Amino acid sequence: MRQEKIRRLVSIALLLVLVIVFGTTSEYFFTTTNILTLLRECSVVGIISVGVSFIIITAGIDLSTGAIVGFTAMICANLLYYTNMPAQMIIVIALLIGTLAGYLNGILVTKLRLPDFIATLSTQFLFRGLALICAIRTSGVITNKVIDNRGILVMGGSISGLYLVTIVFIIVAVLGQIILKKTQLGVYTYATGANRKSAELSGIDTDKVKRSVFTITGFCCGIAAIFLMAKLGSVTPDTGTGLEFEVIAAVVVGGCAFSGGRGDIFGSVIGALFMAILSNGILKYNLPTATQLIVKGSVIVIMVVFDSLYNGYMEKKIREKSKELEELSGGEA
Amino acid sequence: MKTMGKTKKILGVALACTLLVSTALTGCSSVKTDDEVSKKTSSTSQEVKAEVKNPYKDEVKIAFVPNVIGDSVAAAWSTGMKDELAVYDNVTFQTFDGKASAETQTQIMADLVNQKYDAIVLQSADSAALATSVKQAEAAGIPVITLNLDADTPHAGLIAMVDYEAGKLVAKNMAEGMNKTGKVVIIQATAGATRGENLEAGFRDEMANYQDVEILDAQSGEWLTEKANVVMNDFLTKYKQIDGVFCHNDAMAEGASQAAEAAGRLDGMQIWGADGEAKALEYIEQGKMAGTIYTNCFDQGATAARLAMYLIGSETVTSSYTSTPIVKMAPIVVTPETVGSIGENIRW
Amino acid sequence: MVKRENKKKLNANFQKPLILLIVIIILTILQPSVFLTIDNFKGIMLSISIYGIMVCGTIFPILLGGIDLSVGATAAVSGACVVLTIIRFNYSTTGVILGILVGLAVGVGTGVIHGMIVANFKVPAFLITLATQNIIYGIAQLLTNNQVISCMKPKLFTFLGGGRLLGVPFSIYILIIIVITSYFVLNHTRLGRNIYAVGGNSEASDLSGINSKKIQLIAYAISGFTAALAGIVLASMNQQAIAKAAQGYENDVLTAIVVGGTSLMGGEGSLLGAVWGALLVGMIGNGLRLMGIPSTYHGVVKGIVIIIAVSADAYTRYKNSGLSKGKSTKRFARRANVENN
Repeated sequence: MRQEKIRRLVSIALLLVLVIVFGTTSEYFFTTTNILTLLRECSVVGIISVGVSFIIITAGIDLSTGAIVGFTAMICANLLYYTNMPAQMIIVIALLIGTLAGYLNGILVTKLRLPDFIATLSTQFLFRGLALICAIRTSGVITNKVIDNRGILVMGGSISGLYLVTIVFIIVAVLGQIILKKTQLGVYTYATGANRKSAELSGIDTDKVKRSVFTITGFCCGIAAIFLMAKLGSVTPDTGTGLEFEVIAAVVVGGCAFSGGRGDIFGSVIGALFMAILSNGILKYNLPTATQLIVKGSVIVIMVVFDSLYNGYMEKKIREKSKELEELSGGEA
Repeated sequence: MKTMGKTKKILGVALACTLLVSTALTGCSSVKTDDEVSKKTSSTSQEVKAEVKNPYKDEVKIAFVPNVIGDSVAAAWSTGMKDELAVYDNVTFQTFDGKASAETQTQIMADLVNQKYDAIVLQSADSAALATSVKQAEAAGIPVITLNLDADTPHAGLIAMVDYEAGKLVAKNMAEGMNKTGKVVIIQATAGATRGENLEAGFRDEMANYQDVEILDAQSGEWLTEKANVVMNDFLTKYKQIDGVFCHNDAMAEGASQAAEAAGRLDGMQIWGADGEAKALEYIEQGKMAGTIYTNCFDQGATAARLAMYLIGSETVTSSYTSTPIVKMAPIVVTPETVGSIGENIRW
Repeated sequence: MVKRENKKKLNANFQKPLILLIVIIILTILQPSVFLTIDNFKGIMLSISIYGIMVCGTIFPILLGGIDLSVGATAAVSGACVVLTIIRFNYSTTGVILGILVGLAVGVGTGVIHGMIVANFKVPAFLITLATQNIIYGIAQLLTNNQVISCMKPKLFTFLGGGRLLGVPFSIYILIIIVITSYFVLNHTRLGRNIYAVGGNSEASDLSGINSKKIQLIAYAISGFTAALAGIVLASMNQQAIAKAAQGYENDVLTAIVVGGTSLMGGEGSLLGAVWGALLVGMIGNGLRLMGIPSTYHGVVKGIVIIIAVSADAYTRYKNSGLSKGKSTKRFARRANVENN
């Protein structure tokens, strides 16, 4: 477990380096408004990455999260525009749709035996297509409407500056970490990811685990959809496009590996923060768009490589130390 | 299984909490939406600015947020703006890539407000999705000038290429070019793109006046040359007779032309685009396209820049507007006969 | 036992072509006079030609358990390099040849860099190539200065993507050559065998003397090469170079490869499968267009058809994989569970 702790410290250290660099070189980075905006920006990705962390720990992947968010939001937009449903009901419906969509992914993966990538890629096409079909149209032409329902918009709001979405992100992350580390589902999740066949043979119903993690992700997508909708104040057929890559990047940067069995929610939170800080910070300098892209990519490469190098170095050190200890105690035995 | 029970319990509790919390939040007054926050900060300002900057002397920052970088139209706007502002050393002009995403644009807008930019020129990815951001910027005293696509909230100004009218012009000219009879296909923008939808609406409305012209089919070419090439190929396979092709932009018209030429069916085909980029004009000169609707995008960009400078130095607070004033860029119908009139220096 | 094994293998080998045949039959019934024509087949091949070239190369790193998300960006940069070189050399033949070499070199170069980083630093290829995608698109923006750079001559260049040889678009010839080459390398050379070995179990292959680092380097270099080639063909087809060329193509590439049965964990999959995947997706789009179905509905249909087509394929493979709970395994697990409780 020392390894994990060191990995964690290294990630946090890299995050702090980024923050210090941006803070000292730009006058607009360390302002209260900017920090709060930054936290708001990482929250939507962060909420979804809690669910996707579960999936990636089971050695799976989910490419449909953005589309599920878009579809859920579009259904809500339709409800808001065409009916007089109270906001609370719409919020509950959003959560249900997200959860069901996630469950669909789970079914495709477990009952139809589709590889995760294919199942979620297909549902991405499916839900993105449905969002387009369900877009609000006036005489055949898509006319996206501005949401004016305060019950919904209040979700995008803030309490003396701190955005609600950030608070919810923290709650969801804590809940996720608890489920992952303290419940049987969490144990089974790690087991399924580490070695599915052995987990299967030791009696774990890996199918149920897979369905659960996809459903959890769907639920998170539902939450994210509400907040995204509230923040934008409108829904377009493109809402949520590209979100899946941002989420996966955050989760992987935060320490989960595609091979499964490693990582946790805390790491993904750090990953989400890292990406948000990077995107936010780059806007502060007078850089041409090309340079913005190059800097962003380079920082990620440098940080990831450094992270890996340092971890390798520390692991070597630990191995050497434990070898020493073995030799010492071996002498006595 | 036990695990399912525990997880279901947690999810159920979460759902119940959400219901309670969301009801409470709506009533709670300490939670403020973005709107209410910005109303609070701007209610203290009147219709006239307290202090006015001199945009030609004081340090001024102007931001340009196009929908996507690499687009010929956005490049022309950028050149127009840069050329206009280049002479003023005190002006910083900065471009931010919207990456064709409303979410990215709203993030950028929020940051521009935080960094206290003096004016923003924006090509919205979607008019409804950017409404909140534009409102925030205006409330913070930053005039927002939109290009082509409006934002569903009153702001400093909209400078637009015509779209509905452009579609009508294409339909009229194409029908005349086809002697008012024949079959036509449409290669569309990405599904849901407002400009494409308006172009097509104008096209179809005008074509309805020509009873002998039949619109056979419409498929999306996603604004891209190579995709339009593929779509046109499929059209050529399916339909033995195609007399006219309307593409929502020049890039796609070029692709359609390439497909038709490779299949040997370009002769007599009326291929029309919209935008007026330099390559399309060359294609028209070489007889590969029948026409396009040209707008001087250099001028459009320059107009945006001039308007921005004007508004920065103006005493009027644009957030007090109740509707957005619009500047429409006059289109030029480009055909093999008129293409010569478009000089080299206004080709983009 | 042997008979059953043989039957399984037979089923597995004919699964994919059978599914394709079914799709072809369905589409022929729906559009009798147009679908099953040579013209239309050319159209389908044309629609997959650009990312099809990329598929043939990107399958190499994926077979190793890696991935290459930067193919679109590499294509854009290579296209920009070719066009700029051609213009520099005044649209001469030298310019074209030099331009193509430069473009391909850039692709191979980026691939080599990817390979070095992934092989030496144990970092997830997903992250690295996602990051370099940003960098490379940034370079494309710098090269083109965010403008559209038009290049409508010489004929030698525009023929690559836009010309027709014997009525068939030349880009299809390029695709076929690359497919054959890639198939040959993967299935009939030592390199190909090594790739499957390293992808299946990198430690074991290290022990048996295969230099897995070198293999990774080569695999990413190949992926960069095909991405560059695709970019050059694209620039030729469009007769221009732009900074956002080939944006999103990596999605099409990955879809084709994975629909075709290649696992993202590595070690499993085939080039023919990937080609099958590309053809399937191409046929869906083509079929929908021929049927005149509005573009709004294409996404939903694509998703559903892929699910159906791959389910049939995946279900058979799962049955053969050992994970499925055969009667004896289920009994064993249940017994173990009862004992624990």
